[in-house]
Amino acid sequence: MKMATLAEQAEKLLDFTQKLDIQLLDNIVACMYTSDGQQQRMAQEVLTTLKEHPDAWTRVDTILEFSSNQQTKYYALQILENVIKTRWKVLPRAQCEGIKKYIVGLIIKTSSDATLLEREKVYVGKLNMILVQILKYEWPRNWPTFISDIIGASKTNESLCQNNMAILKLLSEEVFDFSSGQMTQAKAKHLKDTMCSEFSQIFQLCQFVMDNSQNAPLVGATLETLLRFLNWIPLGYIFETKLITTLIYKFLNVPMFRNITMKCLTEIAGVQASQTYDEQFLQLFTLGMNQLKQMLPLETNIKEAYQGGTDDEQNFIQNLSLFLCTFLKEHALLVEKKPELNTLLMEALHYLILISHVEEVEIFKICLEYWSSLASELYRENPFSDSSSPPLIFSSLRVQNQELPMRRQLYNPVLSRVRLVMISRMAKPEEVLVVENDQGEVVREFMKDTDSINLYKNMRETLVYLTHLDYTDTENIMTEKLHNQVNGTEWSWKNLNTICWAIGSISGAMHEDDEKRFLVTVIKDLLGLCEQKRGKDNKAIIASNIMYVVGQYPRFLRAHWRFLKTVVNKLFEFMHETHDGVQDMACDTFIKIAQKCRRHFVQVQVGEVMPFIEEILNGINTIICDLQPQQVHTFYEAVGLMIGAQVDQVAQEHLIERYMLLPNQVWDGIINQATHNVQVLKDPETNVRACKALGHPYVVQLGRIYLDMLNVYKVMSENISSAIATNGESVTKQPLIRSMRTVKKETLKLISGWVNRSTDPQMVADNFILPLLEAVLLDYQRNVPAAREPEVLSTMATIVNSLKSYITKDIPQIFDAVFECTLTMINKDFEEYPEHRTNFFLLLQAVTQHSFQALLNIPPAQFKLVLDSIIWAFKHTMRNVADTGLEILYVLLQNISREEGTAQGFYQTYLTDILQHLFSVVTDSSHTAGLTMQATILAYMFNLLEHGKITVSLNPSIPAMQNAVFVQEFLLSLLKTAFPHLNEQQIKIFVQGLFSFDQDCNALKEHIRDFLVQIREFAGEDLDDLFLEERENAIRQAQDEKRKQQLAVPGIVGPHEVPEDMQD
Amino acid sequence: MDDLAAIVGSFAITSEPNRTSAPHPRYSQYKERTPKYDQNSRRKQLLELQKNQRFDYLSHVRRLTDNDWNNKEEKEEDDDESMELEHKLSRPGRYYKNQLMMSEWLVEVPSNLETEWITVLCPVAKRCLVVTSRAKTKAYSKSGYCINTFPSHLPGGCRSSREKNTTILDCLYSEANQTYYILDLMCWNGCSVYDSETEFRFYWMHEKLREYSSLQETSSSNPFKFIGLPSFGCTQDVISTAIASAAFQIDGILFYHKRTHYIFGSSPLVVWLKPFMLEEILGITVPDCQKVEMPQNYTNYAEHMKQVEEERLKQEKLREERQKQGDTGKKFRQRHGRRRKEAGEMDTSHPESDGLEQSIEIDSKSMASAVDAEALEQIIDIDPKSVTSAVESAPGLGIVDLSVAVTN
Repeated sequence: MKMATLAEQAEKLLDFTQKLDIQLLDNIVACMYTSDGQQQRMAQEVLTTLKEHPDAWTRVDTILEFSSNQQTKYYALQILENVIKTRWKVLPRAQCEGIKKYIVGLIIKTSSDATLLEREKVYVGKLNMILVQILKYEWPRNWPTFISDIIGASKTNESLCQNNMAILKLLSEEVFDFSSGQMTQAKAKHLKDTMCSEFSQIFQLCQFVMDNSQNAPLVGATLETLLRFLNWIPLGYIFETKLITTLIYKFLNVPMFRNITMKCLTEIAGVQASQTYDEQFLQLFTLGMNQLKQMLPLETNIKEAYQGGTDDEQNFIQNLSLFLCTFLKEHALLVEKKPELNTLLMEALHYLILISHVEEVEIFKICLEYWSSLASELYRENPFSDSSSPPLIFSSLRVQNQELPMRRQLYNPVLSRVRLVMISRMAKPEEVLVVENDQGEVVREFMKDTDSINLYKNMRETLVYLTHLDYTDTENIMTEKLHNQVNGTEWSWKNLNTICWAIGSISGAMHEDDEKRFLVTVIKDLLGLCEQKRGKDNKAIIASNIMYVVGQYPRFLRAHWRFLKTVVNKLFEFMHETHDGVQDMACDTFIKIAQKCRRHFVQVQVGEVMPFIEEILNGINTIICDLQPQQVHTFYEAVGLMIGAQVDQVAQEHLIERYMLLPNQVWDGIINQATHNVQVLKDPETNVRACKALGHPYVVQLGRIYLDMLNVYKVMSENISSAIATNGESVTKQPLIRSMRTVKKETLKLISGWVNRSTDPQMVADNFILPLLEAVLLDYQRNVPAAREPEVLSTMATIVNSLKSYITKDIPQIFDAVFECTLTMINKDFEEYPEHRTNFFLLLQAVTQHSFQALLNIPPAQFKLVLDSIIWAFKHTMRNVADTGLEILYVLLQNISREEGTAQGFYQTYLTDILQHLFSVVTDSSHTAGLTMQATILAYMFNLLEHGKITVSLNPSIPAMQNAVFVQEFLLSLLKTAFPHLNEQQIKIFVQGLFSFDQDCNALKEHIRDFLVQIREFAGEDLDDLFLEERENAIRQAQDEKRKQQLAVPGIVGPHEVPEDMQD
Repeated sequence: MDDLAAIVGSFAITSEPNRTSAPHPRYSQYKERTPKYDQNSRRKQLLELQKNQRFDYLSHVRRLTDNDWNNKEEKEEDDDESMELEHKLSRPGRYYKNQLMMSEWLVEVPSNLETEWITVLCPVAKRCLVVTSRAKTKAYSKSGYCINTFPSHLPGGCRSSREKNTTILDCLYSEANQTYYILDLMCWNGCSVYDSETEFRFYWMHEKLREYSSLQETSSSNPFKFIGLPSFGCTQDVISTAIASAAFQIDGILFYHKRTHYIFGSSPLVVWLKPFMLEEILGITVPDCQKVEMPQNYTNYAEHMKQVEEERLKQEKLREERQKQGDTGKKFRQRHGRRRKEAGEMDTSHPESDGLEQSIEIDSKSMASAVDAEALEQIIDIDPKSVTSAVESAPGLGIVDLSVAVTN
């Protein structure tokens, strides 16, 4: 299709006076899906315009009837859905009825024929969805007989019945599962109540189908629908009917239905009911288990069966695990109490053990959750180990096994098998990602929150509980697993890693002496293995594992100095090893040990003449000479941690001097050369790490290089500025300029890092701040925006956060330099300079929080600017910025309320402004993420109003007493202009609610959510199904409740408002 | 525990003999497994091998220059002990790893040290491989990591360089002095000297450096200095004079065999000592200022080993005493409580049982098998009666081993 004709013909489509040209529409839709580039864009534009046309829906029936293109039909249905969702209430009733009848008729027509239904599955699905959308408005008020209609229709035709099941399922989901945020609370409640009260008809239909139908798709659909019902229907339907037995006897063993049946049974197993239905739960368990044993013999190797199974079979295993775990978690106690059921219980656990071996992590997670809860429960019940020989004083009181709690005896054999599962499947405890940083260096990053690490944490926890329950058994299993590595039966890198992660995971769970004995054998076995295996790859893996295990047991290391020293020396040796990954492993283990054993390196140990740190510093050049820069940094951080543990200040300063000797030599060399060659300058990363490790005592070193560093900063800045001046802003992307910027950034990072850790704000403020401000601020202000470092802002924020009131006097200087020039960078839009944006508001937050006095002292014009910035902040769609903005506002309001003098003026000038802007975000659906904070602030402001904290009048024409009323009026007219499609009554109730719920943030939040739902719909004249009356009642109740609470606290309610019981 | 420390102290990933990353065998507290061949015979065999084997150095230079390892048959390197003598002329590690000739500790002083060897004093610095290619100079660490890329006045090292051919050097990079100290020269302006003997390579290096004097000055096209390290003869006098007049902190002293070619990986034909070891191993006195890294309680090897042994005995005693006092014996009591109680009377009524325990303990220590403190405790804890009978049935065992332990 030609471009020009396309545009021309689009005109025709949009002309509603003409008859719709279906062929043309089909062409355009086809164009949208098949062509590309300009043409596709055009087509999309036409379709969107048409869709948004208020009369578009009138064409839907024609399209559905005559179009031959499936996609065009969906498009038409989209138009219809849109209309129903937003404008249903303003459509004339007759039209509504028309649409409803049309859709129902269409559904009946398409779904009455089984083959047609199967072929048009997706299309019918969409129609069903539209019907449910209609129902949300029409049912039950305008269509009270819907349920009996649909039930009645179902009985006429099996295929129709099948589709009706799907409609009921959708309805259940819409009302019970996804109603939050889509319907007002009152409406959702009303629909739920109606559905419950009419459920018996639905249930009868389901039961009828289950009992009598031979039609498989119909039965399948019925079970699917039933599954959705199970989580809300009254319990009687489940337990006082023959539902459970029907499910188990009739459907569980039919391959086609077993998965959906299992899901239904799981849903039932998860029901928490009072003791009334104990019998039924036991029945569920016995019948279910007996049926299962026939379907899946206990001897089955489930792991292999799963690997070779079809999708359906694999799902069944997963559903089975869900059923067993859910049932046992909720009702195991019931089963345990019946000795005759113990065998069955053991068999259920046997299944779970077998399933736990399946190599599918999602299934394993299901089992793990159960094992974890079982192990922790058993431990909490009785925190003694089976194997611990009890301390002497208890030995006479407690004879083993006899005293062992019943449950423990019951579960013991299973627990041992669970231990084996945990030990042979232990997940990877840490994940390292190799990434490229800003400077183009390849660095390693430790991941914090990945799936695998969470799995490890859960497994670790479970294994620790299991170890507490019987540490000998854990130890035996581990030892045997390790022997299998040594004797070769299970030798593989993966298995070795797994067993070592498992060994490392239970650190601290055994008694210290047992742990020692165990660890000695483990390490010996591993060393023997290393000796035995040939090839560097093998040896490197084993060595890493040895070091991993050792690093996991700091208590052991601390207790055995000579061993610790040997290990560390061995790590130093590995730092020269060129085999892949060994150096990284050595550095990582070294810092791990340094963190946990730092004190031992600065003390003189038995048999030594000096602390080990001295030896490290003596040989530091040799130790690090083969490491890569990143590894050197890690090494320095580790040594810094050790030095940080020296409590004697003089000794510590001496150590720091020697520690920084090499970096300082390099630094001095660079400074000397810098005058004629700026290229050699590099970033002070070593210092950053040292500072991180040492904390406040780093002051000795910082003092040494501080002024030089700031000078370097200035020189860098000048270079960058002049480069930009001569070559334009694009030069900032060049490697040389980028590396200079890195130096600047790192310098700021170092300083803010130290200030953050410093403990003497007075000293910092007196000695370090002035030169910093001189070097950094002017440069920031004068530079072109592209060359301003966002880190300047974050550094200032850090300084304010740490120094608090000590920095108040410098705030004006900081603001003068950074405030306006940054604001002009970010006030054009919501996206540019994201880092500056974030940091700017963080600085503002720091000042508001910690140096509020400084804000009070600035001139009114500038204060207005600050407030505007805050408002600007919370209007962002960048979530972090908007959140910061709201937090600042909240703190600002709280702080200002404490300043009696300024507060009233502030309220008078800004309160209504703030409210207006707040409401503009509250009612904007792209800001719903911040709803909690928005509600908190609103609640706070309404509280101020209600409690008469605002003593000046907000409007000159009314007295201050009427402030609350004034604000209500103000909001009413504000919202009325903003949402003309809403009814005045609706808005009034909303505004009233705002005041009534100001004690309860959650309720206020829900109240606002309801309003958001209403905004999306045109209200029209018909208000009945908005349930405004119910809502009004709820609001009145909240108001009464609030008042009651206030009355309970003497004095909260003024003497004139207290209702008098007796008017004496 | 000490035993465990000893095993940990001696395990390794790379099992090259006398590797310098581990402590010098003489100064180590733990005994390494003795290599199958001593250093001297390995030297002899290596020189022999050098005569017979040819390695295609030219194509190797090309690979280093172009960083192109594609048409190289991937043969995994083995590090089996049996391979020690078939030296690593075969295949360098991946990329730029293992491209340098590394030293072993000087363990056995060769008899021809004064005539056949040359020394170089090394400043504290980082070992690296410097390669010029495509008008750039690159430095690689021992593990093959590219430390830096910069221009230099080496042939082929910068855009203005007249020569376009490659240069490969073995250097020590001092970050503090912004200087590359040249240890050895493998290729100069495309001319490979890998298969030349040490004397020639050193001579060639100094000759070339004299021609290119601008290498010793920093400038924007040569930001780092390149300085050749002088070499000396191996007589006591020469070495001690050189050390005394050294202007820098000496990291260690390298000894090169005059006849060795430049080979990859560690070689017994290049050996290494720390300054503080010179006095004892070669009888050369070293000023104190160059002995920083010496262990502070160290006097000489024999004394050192004695100290190590004494220390161990002291630790054992300490532990034993503590056990007797029972202040740390909580677990001990827990685990062996019942047996202890039965044996308790014997502890006091038969004073000789103490002596027996002690003898058993020392005896066990002299055993080479893996025995740690825990095992010791178990041995001590065995009912004295059964031990007595065991000793009687194997007469002399306890006594003889006791004397061995003491003389040790």
